[in-house]
Amino acid sequence: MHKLQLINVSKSFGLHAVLRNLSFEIFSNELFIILGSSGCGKTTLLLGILGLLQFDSGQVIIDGIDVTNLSPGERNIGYVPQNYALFPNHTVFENIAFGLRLRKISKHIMQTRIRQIIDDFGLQGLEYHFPSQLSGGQMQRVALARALIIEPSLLLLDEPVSALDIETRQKIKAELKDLQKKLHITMVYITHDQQETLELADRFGILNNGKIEQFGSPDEVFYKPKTLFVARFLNTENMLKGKILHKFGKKVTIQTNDIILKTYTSLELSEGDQVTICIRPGAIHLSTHHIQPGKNVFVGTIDSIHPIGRDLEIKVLVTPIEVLKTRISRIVAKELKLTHGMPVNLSIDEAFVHLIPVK
Amino acid sequence: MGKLYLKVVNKTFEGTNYFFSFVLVTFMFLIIGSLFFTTTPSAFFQQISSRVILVSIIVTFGSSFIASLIVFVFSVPTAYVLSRKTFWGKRILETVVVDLPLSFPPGVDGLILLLLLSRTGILGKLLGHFHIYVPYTFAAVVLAKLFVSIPFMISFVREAFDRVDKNIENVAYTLGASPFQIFYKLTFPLSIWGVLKGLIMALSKSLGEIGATLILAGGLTSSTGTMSVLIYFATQKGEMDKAIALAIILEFLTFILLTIIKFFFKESTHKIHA
Repeated sequence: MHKLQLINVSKSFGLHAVLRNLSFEIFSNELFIILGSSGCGKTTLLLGILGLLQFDSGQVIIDGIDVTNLSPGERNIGYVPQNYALFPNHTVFENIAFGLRLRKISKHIMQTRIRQIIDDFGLQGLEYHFPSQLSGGQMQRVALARALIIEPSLLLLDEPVSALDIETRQKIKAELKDLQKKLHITMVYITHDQQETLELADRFGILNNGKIEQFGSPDEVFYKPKTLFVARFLNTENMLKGKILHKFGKKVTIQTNDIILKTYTSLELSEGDQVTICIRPGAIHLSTHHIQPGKNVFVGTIDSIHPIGRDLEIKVLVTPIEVLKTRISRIVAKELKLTHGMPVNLSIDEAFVHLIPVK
Repeated sequence: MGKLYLKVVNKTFEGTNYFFSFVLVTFMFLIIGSLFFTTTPSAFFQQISSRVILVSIIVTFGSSFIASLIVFVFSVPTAYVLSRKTFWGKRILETVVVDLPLSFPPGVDGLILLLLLSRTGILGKLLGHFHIYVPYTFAAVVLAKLFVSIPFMISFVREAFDRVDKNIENVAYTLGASPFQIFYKLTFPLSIWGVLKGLIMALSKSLGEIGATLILAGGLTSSTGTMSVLIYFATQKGEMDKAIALAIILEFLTFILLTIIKFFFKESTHKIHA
């Protein structure tokens, strides 16, 4: 069932169109991420869903009810902003109680629910602390407890971990995912961080220029970008220009400047069509041993080795002008004793050679 | 050679800074302190126990207090509108209620008010129908102080409202709070130090106001003779002991108010933003 539906929503500020006829659905109990760079309209979209900003046109539907003309309080959406926005003049207890007090819930029920959520979020002993006395992680848990205690239809989070240090960020991300699964709550999460998206999202959408470029699961979008923008935005390391040499059913052979690749595609392509070939480094297997010649097997020499986090990025020259990038762990690289100029063999899994038609 | 040159330039620069700062500080101390050296304790106490001075203290405090209360009532909603709302003519409103009164010399403020409230003025004629005549009365003193101090108060309160994180209000809206509930539960309590600071600045401005008061209220009667106005007349008549006694009281009060702002509000601001 759809938890949230946006139908043809648009918003402009003066002559600048921020959202253009945007439509999408979010399913119950999923963690949906809206990914986009700064200024792509993420915040406008979020404020519009919350009712803090009126869309120029379109509808917002929550649980099948049109909430387009309802006030933010009537929409029953929990909201956790980027900086958590805890009420600095209220204690942790009062922050959590804020929404319940406005609902005129009996004191006894309110106390019970607050105690319960304080226990669930591990905030015992902090009830009478003020926000300025809390750590980043504690602040976030209070913000979540404050948003969830009103039993919202869905929870909107605006870059909730971006203000935290790496260690706390990892911990909070895991907690968020666990919480979402445990409470079966629909979460809409906004971020510019693709790593976070790939780690957390059940599904995500990439927002660009007021429109969603592509929806899908992390694997789907990461390995099979539909547009050049998505491929570039998700830093597809190997993007080669080529043209269709042969096509037989779903099987295609593509010619780049110097190499020939084989793959499968369900795209409507004909021989001679120009395409962009996207290959993730993870799909390219590097070996120092001889590999039997076959489909998508290349011999090359190492052009450069760069550390990327815990891995090394290896650039391999497969022809004088064609470079393929792959990644291997530092330990494996050490075992293989990789050095600049060393001859290596590359093999690419056909299933991970993805094509984007050039329009 | 280059290093020595740089060293000399830096030393000269530092020395010049210290020299000018020292001259200025000495000059300021001389000005402030001169009041205390030009009178004697007995002359001071004799003056402040005179009826004229006591009445002027009451008039000054009474009018400043009433003006500050009115300023508070009008400034808070105006500052809230300026801080939170976007509407056509907002810039004009800002110019009219803040920038213009701030940039006019107080004498000009007084003249504008006098022209407006005199028997032939627009407001004066209107009030005349109800047999109300404002110029040269206690109400004129209050009005003059109000007119001069209100832009300060609006500026301070607006700044305090601006500093409240909009996300705090947004979250409260999503939790079901009304704009009024958000204002009295969050925005106003979170801006309270800025509001109080503005109120003290308005009070301080009111206490020392002379230009507008002199023109609109005259200051020749007991109900309009504020301390600043009395200092002016006393110096004109050569009654220096009287002028100095009044000046010392005003200086002392201003010092107290500034101390409150400098230390108390600085600490409080740190606590809020910690």
